[in-house]
Amino acid sequence: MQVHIALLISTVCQRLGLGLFIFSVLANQFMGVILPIDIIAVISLGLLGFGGLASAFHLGKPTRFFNAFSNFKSHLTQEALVTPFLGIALLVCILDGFLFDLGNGAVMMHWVTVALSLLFLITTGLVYQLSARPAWDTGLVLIIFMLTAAQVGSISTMVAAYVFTSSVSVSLTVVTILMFVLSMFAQYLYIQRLKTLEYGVAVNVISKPYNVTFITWLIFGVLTVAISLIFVAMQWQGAMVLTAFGAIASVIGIFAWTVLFFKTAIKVKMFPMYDVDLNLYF
Amino acid sequence: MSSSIIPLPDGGKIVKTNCFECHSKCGVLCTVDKDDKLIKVQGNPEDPRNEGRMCAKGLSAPEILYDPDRLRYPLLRVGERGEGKWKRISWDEAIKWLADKVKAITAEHGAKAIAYGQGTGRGTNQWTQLGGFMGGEVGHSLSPGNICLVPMMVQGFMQFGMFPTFDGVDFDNADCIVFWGSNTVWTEGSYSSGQVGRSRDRGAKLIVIDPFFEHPLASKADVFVPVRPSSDVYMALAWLNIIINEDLYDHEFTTKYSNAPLLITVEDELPVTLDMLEDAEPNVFLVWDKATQSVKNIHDKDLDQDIWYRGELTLKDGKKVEVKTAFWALKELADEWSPAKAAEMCWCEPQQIIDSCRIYANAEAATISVFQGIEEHTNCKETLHLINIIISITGNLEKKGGNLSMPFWQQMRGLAGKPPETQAALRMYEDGPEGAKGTLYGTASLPKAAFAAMRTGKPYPIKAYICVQGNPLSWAENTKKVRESLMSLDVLCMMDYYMSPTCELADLVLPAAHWTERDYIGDEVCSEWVFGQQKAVEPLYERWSDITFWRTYGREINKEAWPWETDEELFDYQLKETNAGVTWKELKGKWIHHLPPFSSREYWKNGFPTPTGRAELYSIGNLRAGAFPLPRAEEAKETPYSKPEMAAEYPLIAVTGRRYPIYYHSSFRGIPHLRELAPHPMVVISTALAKKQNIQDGDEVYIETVTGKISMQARSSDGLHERMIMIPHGWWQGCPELNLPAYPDDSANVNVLTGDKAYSNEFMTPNMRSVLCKIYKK
Amino acid sequence: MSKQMTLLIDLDRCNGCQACTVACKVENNVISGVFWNRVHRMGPVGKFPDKLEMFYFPMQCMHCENPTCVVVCPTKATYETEDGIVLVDSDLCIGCEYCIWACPYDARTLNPETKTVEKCMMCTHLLEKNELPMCVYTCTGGARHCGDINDPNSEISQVLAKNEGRQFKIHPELTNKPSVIYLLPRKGAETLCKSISRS
Ligand SMILES: Nc1nc2c(c(=O)[nH]1)N[C@H]1C(S)=C(S)[C@@H](COP(=O)(O)OP(=O)(O)OC[C@H]3O[C@@H](n4cnc5c(=O)[nH]c(N)nc54)[C@H](O)[C@@H]3O)O[C@H]1N2
Ligand SMILES: Nc1nc2c(c(=O)[nH]1)N[C@H]1C(S)=C(S)[C@@H](COP(=O)(O)OP(=O)(O)OC[C@H]3O[C@@H](n4cnc5c(=O)[nH]c(N)nc54)[C@H](O)[C@@H]3O)O[C@H]1N2
Ligand code: SF4
Ligand code: SF4
Ligand code: SF4
Ligand code: SF4
Ligand code: SF4
Ligand SMILES: [Mo]
Repeated sequence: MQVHIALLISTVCQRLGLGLFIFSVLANQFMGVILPIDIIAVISLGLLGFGGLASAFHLGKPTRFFNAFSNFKSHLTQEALVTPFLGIALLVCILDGFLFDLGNGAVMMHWVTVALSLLFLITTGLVYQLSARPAWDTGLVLIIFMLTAAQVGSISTMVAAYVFTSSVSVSLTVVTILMFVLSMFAQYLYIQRLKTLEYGVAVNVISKPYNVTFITWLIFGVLTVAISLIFVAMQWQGAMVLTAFGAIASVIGIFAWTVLFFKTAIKVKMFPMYDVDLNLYF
Repeated sequence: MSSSIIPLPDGGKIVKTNCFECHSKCGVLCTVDKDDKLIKVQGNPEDPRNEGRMCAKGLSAPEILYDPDRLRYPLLRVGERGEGKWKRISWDEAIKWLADKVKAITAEHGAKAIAYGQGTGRGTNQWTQLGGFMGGEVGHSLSPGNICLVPMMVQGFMQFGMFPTFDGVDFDNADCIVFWGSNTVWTEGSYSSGQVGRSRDRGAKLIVIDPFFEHPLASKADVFVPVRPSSDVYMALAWLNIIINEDLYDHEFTTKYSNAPLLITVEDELPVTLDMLEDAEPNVFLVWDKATQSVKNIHDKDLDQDIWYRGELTLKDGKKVEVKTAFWALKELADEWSPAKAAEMCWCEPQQIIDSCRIYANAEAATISVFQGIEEHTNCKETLHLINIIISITGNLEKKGGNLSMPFWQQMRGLAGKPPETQAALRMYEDGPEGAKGTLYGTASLPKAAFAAMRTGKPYPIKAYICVQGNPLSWAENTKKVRESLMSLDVLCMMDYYMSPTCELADLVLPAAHWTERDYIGDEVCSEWVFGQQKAVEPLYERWSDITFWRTYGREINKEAWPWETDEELFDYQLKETNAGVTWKELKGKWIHHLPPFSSREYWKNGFPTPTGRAELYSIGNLRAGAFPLPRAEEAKETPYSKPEMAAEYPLIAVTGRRYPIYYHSSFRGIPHLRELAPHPMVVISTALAKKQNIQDGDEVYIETVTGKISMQARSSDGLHERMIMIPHGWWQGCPELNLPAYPDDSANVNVLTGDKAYSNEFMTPNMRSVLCKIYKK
Repeated sequence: MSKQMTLLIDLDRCNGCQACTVACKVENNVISGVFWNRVHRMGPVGKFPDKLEMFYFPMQCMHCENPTCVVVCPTKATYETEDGIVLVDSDLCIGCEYCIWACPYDARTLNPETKTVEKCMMCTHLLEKNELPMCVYTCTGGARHCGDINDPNSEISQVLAKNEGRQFKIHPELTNKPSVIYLLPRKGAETLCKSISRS
């Protein structure tokens, strides 16, 4: 299927922004890192807003956006419903300490925002889980959406930790590596599954026209990130630069993955029992 | 208002009329709003033929009517010929300009220097012909009649005195339907597409004889016979072989109603007439009567005739002559063509020939539809002759579910009056062994010769060409020469819907009214009916109906030939002459009118209007006209067998001009919702050839013949023989709205490829469906 | 049983003439580049000359009984009528294209001019007047039928009854449950027939 650039941008931004937020909160709570959540929230909100704008841009009739709140069964409506709450929550996280002081309530607020972020990511992920496209007709779609968010969220949290505290904790590194490995594993499964799809839409990503995207993903999303993380884990000198490098590669990788994700989501063939396609030539 | 116009509550109306976008003239309902705007066209369920169905091009009528590219006013050339500079003039000026020119040319060169013509039948055949005749010297009829319809129709008349293989194909009642070089479900929808489906639902068998598996019925056929183009003649001979030798012929019909028992000489296969045996009137054809053991007049009743007679007769002068029946002659000919031998020439399997033939011949009632796949060959007379024989001896002629006469074809024959006495002497043709004499098409000149006369002045000059609804730069073979010829004219007058490539070369271009804007009679190809094809809306701009033009212009030249002061008078003449039994006014009011069937429908009472009074296997008419009275196994003139040297360099056989269901010849590439369905001209090649020459779908390829070269996109198909390609015709127009190209300079015009060297001697038909060629990537 | 208006298309009778394609466009003013209905060709596929298959396949909305397009549409622009017809209210549609992704049958297109999504509406404006959809009305092969398949007396049900053995649906196992019924070609689609009888 056609690659929707606007959706590509928006889903990557959302995963990056919300992944960062979620892992920053987790890191603060459990991994011995102290990150300024308000600043993180600014970044997340910025990315979410930018992504939202991009996806509104994708609409044929953006001015009718508010019609989208009508069908509670639709994951798009659900996503649209979560969005304002999530936005407000992030805003509250930002303004806490400036306009008002939540005090001990702040942590509570952070957790609420994490929950909303998760909800947002889940509804967005579910948008793509569609039976009409055999490639997308699997729980892996949601799992990968969440894991890629976790992967890019955790590594960017490491970057944030370097930036704000000049160091990362071992647990954050371990979690990041774990997220990366899980995400890669899920993506690997997904790619394997593509080869066995029915309805005449099986895809081998090594073949044209998928190979370029696939290799881009492999180089950036897998190898570069893996190498960076290995060196970071080995506590190599330039860990900070490397992490940043890995985070950027991770973002590029997710872009590439999502392009691949769109491209391989071929609609079922009407007559898969034939080797050839329907055609329209006279 | 009459019952053919139904007023609508909002001030609009529904007009019952007929679509004229193809021959088959489906009954339609035109919805017109109160501002006289045509808003919808749909089939009229009251038409017993199309029953409400309509095809893609017919449904496009409003788009065609209001297409901004349509011609609106008469235009007179002001720049150089072909330069595209025009001056708008009035109709009065146009008619006067044309008449003055024609009179001046006639004064200098005689009326023979004026050629009249048209495209395929669009309701004006007789008037174009009358135009040609009115000068009193010769009718050139510079039209594609030689390619289309004339072979089928004339050969039908020759053998039966009627024409049963067009709208007389009784699809609806047949138990076996044969599409033999024909695809009428796409090309003559009204009487075929729905009927074929219905009959197949009943269990009717289907046979498709065609080189191309993309024939929409090929895959559904009980037998599909993949013939080499133009080899149908052998196929037909093998059928005849099987039918005779497996005793599958209808004994009663063959014996009593066909001229199978006609006695002919063994030596030169000429009829033995009574005046050869005794002093008697001429032209008394004979049969052998078993009861009296003597020869009898073939017209006698209650004979016990012998179709297998062989013997000796004594002539007046006492000499003996060996005689046999016409049926013997056929058997002898057919015996040479076993299915195996025919299959070799047809590039198919013997079993396919055997199976298809048996299914046909054993069916209770079986019908054969033939068309361009048979006609557009130099051996069309032979194939048509054989198919007519097959229809006859299997008893399917004038049988319900077989091939029927349709009244219009008899009635129309006298409409244009008689040809001038000098017709035969002045018409142009080619003599010689490879010649195109037109022995069976004397009312026209060989188009190639007429075009040559424009260029060369030989045998005498043609100075003017006046043509309605035709596009010779698209229809005629060897376009380059045609273009040159048209450029040499003093006067080219074209009447069209659009500024066609031929119009671009004209001096005078006249805007034709669309069928929704004009009154016509719908009679040709209308089976048992005649229709009042009335206009739905008033003509827009200054568009005229072609008939109004012919009549008005004709009266300027020869009032006697064109006595009708109004179109209505002309319509009344036409209806009276064709014994329709209805006046124009009545017809317009009731829209549809049923015609009585032709006499041969009850042939057991009336016989057939032929010299022998029978369905003629042995065609006396052919004989008298100088054509072969019996069919022959004639190889077409441009095939790997007849032109092996040419085939060495040009190994592929092209079939040109297979129809699109959505276009009509070169028309309607500019209508967006049609063009988007077939946006580019595509030559179809076999998957095997594509692989061999490494050609991908969509690649631009050159197609080349001895005559010329064009280019098109290629697409491959599993559905044809490796040595065959299919090239579409009619590509010139662009579609600006879709940004799809025009093809100026004939760059995709298939007739740049077709040659002017090989013709049917009888019908002057060029070899448009067997063109030796090669293709290669651009 | 509740009403289920649908189409029945006999692939044995479809000759690929594209009259329905054009009828649909003209009747519903569908712009260039957008198709609510279009006739595709399968084949010829196989070995020339006698091991070949070919048939035409008209494609339009399947008016699913469980239409995913309705489920996913965030605006309820896409909805199902009481007659089982799936429609799009172009005044509500925001052009998010979600329904396009969710429809397995390629039935929907974003109109590049109006920026809203369109598809076959079963000519409801004609059905309301007790007339047939234009594609059905004009079908040159007499291949198309339309009516309430749950009413055993309807013309469509009777055609189905006569041809029970040839009926099939495109991917009935999909959750959508397409309502449009096709009849198998009697010849020329052996591979298709085989795979249907197998499943
Ligand atoms: N839609 C549409 N309808 C039309 C026209 C149009 O342009 N478009 N044109 C009208 C006119 S004027 C005419 S004459 C008719 C023609 O109408 P048809 O003759 O019915 O149609 P064609 O597609 O020209 O040819 C019929 C078949 O002949 C096959 N064929 C080609 N060569 C051979 C051969 O050597 N042997 C055999 N057995 N088959 C062969 C082709 O593959 C094709 O399937 O259509 C008329 N109707
Ligand atoms: N190579 C090859 N050549 C062929 C054929 C083939 O199969 N292969 N087929 C041949 C056959 S069978 C035929 S019949 C001819 C067809 O030849 P033509 O009938 O000349 O066909 P067109 O090229 O469509 O040109 C007809 C012109 O008439 C205009 N027109 C349409 N209706 C009307 C009308 O009512 N009034 C007026 N004044 N104009 C109108 C159209 O706009 C168009 O420009 O082509 C022949 N040429
Ligand atoms: S088949 Fe011919 S007459 Fe009938 S609608 Fe089509 S173009 Fe018109
Ligand atoms: S075919 Fe597609 S658009 Fe039509 S109802 Fe089913 S899911 Fe919806
Ligand atoms: S594009 Fe329109 S109809 Fe489709 S899901 Fe979005 S709002 Fe609904
Ligand atoms: S039912 Fe109407 S809208 Fe649907 S395909 Fe047919 S003509 Fe088009
Ligand atoms: S109109 Fe009928 S026969 Fe023609 S393509 Fe459509 S469904 Fe097939
Ligand atoms: Mo023709």
